[in-house]
Amino acid sequence: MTTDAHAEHQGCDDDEPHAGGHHHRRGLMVLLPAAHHHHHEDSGYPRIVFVGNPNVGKSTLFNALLGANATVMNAPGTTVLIEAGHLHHDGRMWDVVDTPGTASLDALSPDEQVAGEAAMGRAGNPLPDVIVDVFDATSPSKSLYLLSQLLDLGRPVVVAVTMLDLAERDHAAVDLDRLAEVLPHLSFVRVDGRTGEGADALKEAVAATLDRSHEADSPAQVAPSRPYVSSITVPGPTDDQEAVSRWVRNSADERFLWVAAIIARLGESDDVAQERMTLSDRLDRVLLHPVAGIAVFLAVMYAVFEATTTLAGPLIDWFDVTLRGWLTSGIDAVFSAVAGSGSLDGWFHSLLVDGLLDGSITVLTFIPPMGIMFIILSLLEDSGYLARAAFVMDRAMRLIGLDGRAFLPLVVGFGCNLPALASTRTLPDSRQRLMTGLLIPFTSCSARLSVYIVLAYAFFDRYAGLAIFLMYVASMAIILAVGLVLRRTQFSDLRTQPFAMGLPPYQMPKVLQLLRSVLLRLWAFIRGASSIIITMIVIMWFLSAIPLTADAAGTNSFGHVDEVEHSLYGAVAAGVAPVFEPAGFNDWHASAALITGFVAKEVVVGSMSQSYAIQDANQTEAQEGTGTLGQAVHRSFERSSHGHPQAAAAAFMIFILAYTPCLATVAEMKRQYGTRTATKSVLMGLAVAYVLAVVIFQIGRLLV
Amino acid sequence: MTNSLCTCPLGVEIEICRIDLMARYRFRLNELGFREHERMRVIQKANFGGRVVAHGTERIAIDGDTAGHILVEVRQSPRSVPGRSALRIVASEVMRHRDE
Repeated sequence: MTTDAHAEHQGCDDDEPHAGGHHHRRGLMVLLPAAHHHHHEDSGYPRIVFVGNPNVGKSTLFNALLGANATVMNAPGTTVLIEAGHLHHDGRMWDVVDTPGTASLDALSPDEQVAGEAAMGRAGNPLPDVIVDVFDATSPSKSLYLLSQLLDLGRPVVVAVTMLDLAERDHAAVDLDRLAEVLPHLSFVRVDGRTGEGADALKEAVAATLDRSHEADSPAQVAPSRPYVSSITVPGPTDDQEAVSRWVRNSADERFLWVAAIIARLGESDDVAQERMTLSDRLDRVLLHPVAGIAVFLAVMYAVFEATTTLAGPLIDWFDVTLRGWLTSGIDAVFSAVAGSGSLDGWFHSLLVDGLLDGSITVLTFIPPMGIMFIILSLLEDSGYLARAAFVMDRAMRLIGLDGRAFLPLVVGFGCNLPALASTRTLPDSRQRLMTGLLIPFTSCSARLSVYIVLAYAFFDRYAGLAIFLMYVASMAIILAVGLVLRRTQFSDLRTQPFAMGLPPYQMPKVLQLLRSVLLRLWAFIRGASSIIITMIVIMWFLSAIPLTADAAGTNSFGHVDEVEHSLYGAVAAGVAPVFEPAGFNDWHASAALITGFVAKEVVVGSMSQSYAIQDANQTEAQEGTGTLGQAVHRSFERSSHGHPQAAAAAFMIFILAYTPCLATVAEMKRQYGTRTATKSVLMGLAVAYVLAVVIFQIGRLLV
Repeated sequence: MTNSLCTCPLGVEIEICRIDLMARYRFRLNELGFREHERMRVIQKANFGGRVVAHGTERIAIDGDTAGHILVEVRQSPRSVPGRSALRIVASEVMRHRDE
């Protein structure tokens, strides 16, 4: 933000705000977060809006141009994500906005509506000074159709042509020279967002268009003339969406005619190309096959799951054990050198090591799974496979009204919920993205497995395996049930639209661009999620560091509480415990474990051991379940459930499954969907977990 | 004889006859190229009746339900020029005339 603000200031000196400044101020006030407003009120920078069909490489191009300067944000009043930022070029500064992919300005979804509003300067958006139409050379008909609507708007248009290499590979008729010949009044630029090719030429073309616009009396004079004579009036910024729909539909026949004529003039080889089996067609014979397609998809999902869990495991351990060890030793050495070895027992040392360092290491441990997830997503997206995955899984996911692409986040969720949330961004529809995000916390991540194992071995003996298996069945049942309830309530507007999607040709991802985008995404995650994670862990440290009662020896003091029970943390746990009486685990050890579990499920077993003051190191979870810890928990649940410990254990396990997975997911939700949705998710998880736990205990106590 | 797109075998050339969907969805399909008299070729069969059609250089995937609502006529002759619809021929002529 600081860099941006600084850059904006510089930009003010370099760039004269032009006549459209008022519009910019008004629009950016609407588009940008409150913290940005005061900058933009003074800016009045030319506004460049990127518009294009889905899967044409628009966002890749946008990110190649802006890099780290792009900010993802919600369009006002919606959950639709748009990217915006400042672009410097030759001493000038522009406000650039990337919009969701759309096939038409006649919107079928909120995402398409946001794209249309940005292009048309409607709903509080300023009129764009230049529209950059991202034109897919492999899909000329669709690209020309959208272009015909943009040309009608009377704003200056620059056409960025993507995928020309693929069009050439597949012997398509479209090339830059032919386009410029057929549409001589338009400015065409060859671009490739994956390599950055054409980025400078595109900026030059935008600059030249803006210069012409400044010289003319109005930007409309620079706009290419409407491509065909039409008596149908183009709606203005104040007209409603209905008027836009009427305009698009009533002028459709003329548009189709124009597109067909242009395609015909681009060359007859277009038809010949259709006869030719392209490389993508041959690959699709396998990848979209009714049986082989699903098998390949499941294999890909398995690989994704393994990569984000097994492959990430050693890297997580490196951060969690090795790096933590180094840093702790370093801090210890500094404390010893500065204040003597006695300072290592002080509260400040504990705050640094067990609070701040622990929080920072927690953030770092999420880098491997998130990084791997981002790499995989980029590979799947850039190669063109993700669009196929949506098609292959469409039927199955329709059951709960979701896009086929929602399958991937839900599968990944069984490994770790955090990369699963990150992967929802591949869903083009914002409502679907939100609903999938709300379902992900119910996927039983691997961290929860450690708790299941301890409890299953402690309570269900030779049926432990079955009990653990049933937790995964329960996870899927909860996802289905919550999905169906959400579909009928909060997401009743989520209509299952016909699946009709242009399939992008397959292509090889570019490694450098891929790594660049992965690093940018990782940085965005660290920047967005670290503060909340570290703050909460420090708060937890304070709770457990504040003594409420003196222990037997009377030695408890701030930062030195020997028994958790005697700390403020223990008191909070004891205060919460009675709430779980109907679920059979009104016990402070259990509620303390649940509070810790809110931070991370990995530490629930450790927290239980600590609360029972059990010191058995180097045991597996199964050994802990059958050993001292298991016996201690058994005794607690025996007491709290009034003689139905197994029912209480089942209720506790289901509560662990259904409530908030961890603090990091809450932070990621807040980052992606906002505070309201994150809060809603936490409350929904708690409600579902509580109701299920109570029902299971009450039924269970009648049976066992 | 009209069939629904979801029953069309692989490789056949089809001509769109009618789309039995709500107006807004029908219009979106129109926008994507599924218009009356437009010709396409079925190039992939997917699960649950899903189809991928070639329309010029473009490949469009349609789910089975939607394909079931698209009524088409199968053009048996493999020699006919695929994707060269009446609209395109008329448009080409109109534009040539206008240029002249």
